[in-house]
Amino acid sequence: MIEIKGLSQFYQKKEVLHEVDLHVGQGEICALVGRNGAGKSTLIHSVLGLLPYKKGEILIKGISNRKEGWKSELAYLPEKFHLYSHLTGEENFRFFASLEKEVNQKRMEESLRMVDLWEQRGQRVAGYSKGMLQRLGLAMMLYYRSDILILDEPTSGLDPVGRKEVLSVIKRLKGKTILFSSHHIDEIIQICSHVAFLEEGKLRKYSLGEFLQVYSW
Amino acid sequence: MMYIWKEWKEQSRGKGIWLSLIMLILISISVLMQATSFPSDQGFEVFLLSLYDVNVYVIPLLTLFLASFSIIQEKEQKTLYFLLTKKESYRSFLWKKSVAVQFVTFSLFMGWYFILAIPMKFFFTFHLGHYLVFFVVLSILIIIFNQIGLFLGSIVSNRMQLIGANIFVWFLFIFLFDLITLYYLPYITVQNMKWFSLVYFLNPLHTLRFYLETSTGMFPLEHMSRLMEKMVWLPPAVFLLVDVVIWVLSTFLLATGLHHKGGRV
Repeated sequence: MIEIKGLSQFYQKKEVLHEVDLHVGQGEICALVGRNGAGKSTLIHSVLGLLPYKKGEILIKGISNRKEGWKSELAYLPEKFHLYSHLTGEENFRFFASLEKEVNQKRMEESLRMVDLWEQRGQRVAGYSKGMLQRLGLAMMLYYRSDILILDEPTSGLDPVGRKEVLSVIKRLKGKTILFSSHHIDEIIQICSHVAFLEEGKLRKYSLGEFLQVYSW
Repeated sequence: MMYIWKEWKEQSRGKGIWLSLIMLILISISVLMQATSFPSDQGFEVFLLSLYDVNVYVIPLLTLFLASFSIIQEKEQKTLYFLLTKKESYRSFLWKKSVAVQFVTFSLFMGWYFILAIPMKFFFTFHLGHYLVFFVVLSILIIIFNQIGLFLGSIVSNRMQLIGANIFVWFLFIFLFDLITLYYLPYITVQNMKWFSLVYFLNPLHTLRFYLETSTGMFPLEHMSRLMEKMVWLPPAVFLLVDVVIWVLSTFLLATGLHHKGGRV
């Protein structure tokens, strides 16, 4: 589903990613782990086509992300997603849902109910907690029904209750292929089947068991 | 259409655009009060020119800030990332965002100048043609500086940079451009006047005022000196059209180009 081959990325001549290879298969939930500045965001932004790259190849469901047609296969939840603060939850949802032809009312309700935000849909998101904002972002991802989800530190800055709520939604996403960036080992243990570990620009992929053994968690 | 709907909801529920509109209303009323003492024969045209001269300081600043902040907010809120990864290219995003921002600021600001025509009719000998010229001039002023604001919002990465960039651009058009052209003024001859004219009319503030003056009969083009004839080698409306094309198109294209070159989102 996500295939990265020999990807190298540079920031002002400094090599941030060195010939990175990664394969995330169908239904796999793969954590992307590394220290701050290890290149996690660079890798994610490259996959999303936000950062151009000269060396390597990235395929989303077999389609190069340099070509057209891959965006409909993928949905992305940015870290600390704030949305449009003057709009209500429903208005935000409608705007983003409109990126796909017509807004499907039934699917919108299903998505909002799944993240427990249906009752609060009429409130302006300026009054939402960080956890609610992330859940609204997740609801939008669910609405698109994309097979591949990329979650960039979805629990960053959340209180324990907010984290629990967001994680419980992610746990329900069975069958989706997920690349999940996180700093929290407890989250990774709860959710992920594989771990991609980035260190000094190089990436190694482990099964969860191997990772826990190698790094003695 | 959804971009316009979203932009309207966002702006109309915030304070920025309403504070800007209140400023324009207060300025218009104070100029109107002063203009009632002008001689009646050309009082209306003098009022339009005075209102333009005051607005030249205010409208560029307001539109630069409103437009550029609406882009930087998309970056800060991460909504831009969401849009770019789901459907849009930066070009298609900027196009829709530009239409939405232009629509919201244009309809609110020009809505006020439309209403202002009512007291104008009471206080002056109203001339519809001259009023329409004034309306067009302010519309173009809004469109050009909105687009420059959208460009600035696209190329900077944080609010502090953006505040600096907005103030610099405002200073550039209002003062710096004139200071530079003034420096070269002693070297202007009939031979090189065309070049000077090209540079001078590249500043939309000069072109808009000149168009307003000539179209309302405040600056007749019939009896000009040889030097002035060389200066005005194209009709003012053409200079204006060139400015609109250059500033709107170039800032739009540069915004998409520089955005990508910087590797930013």
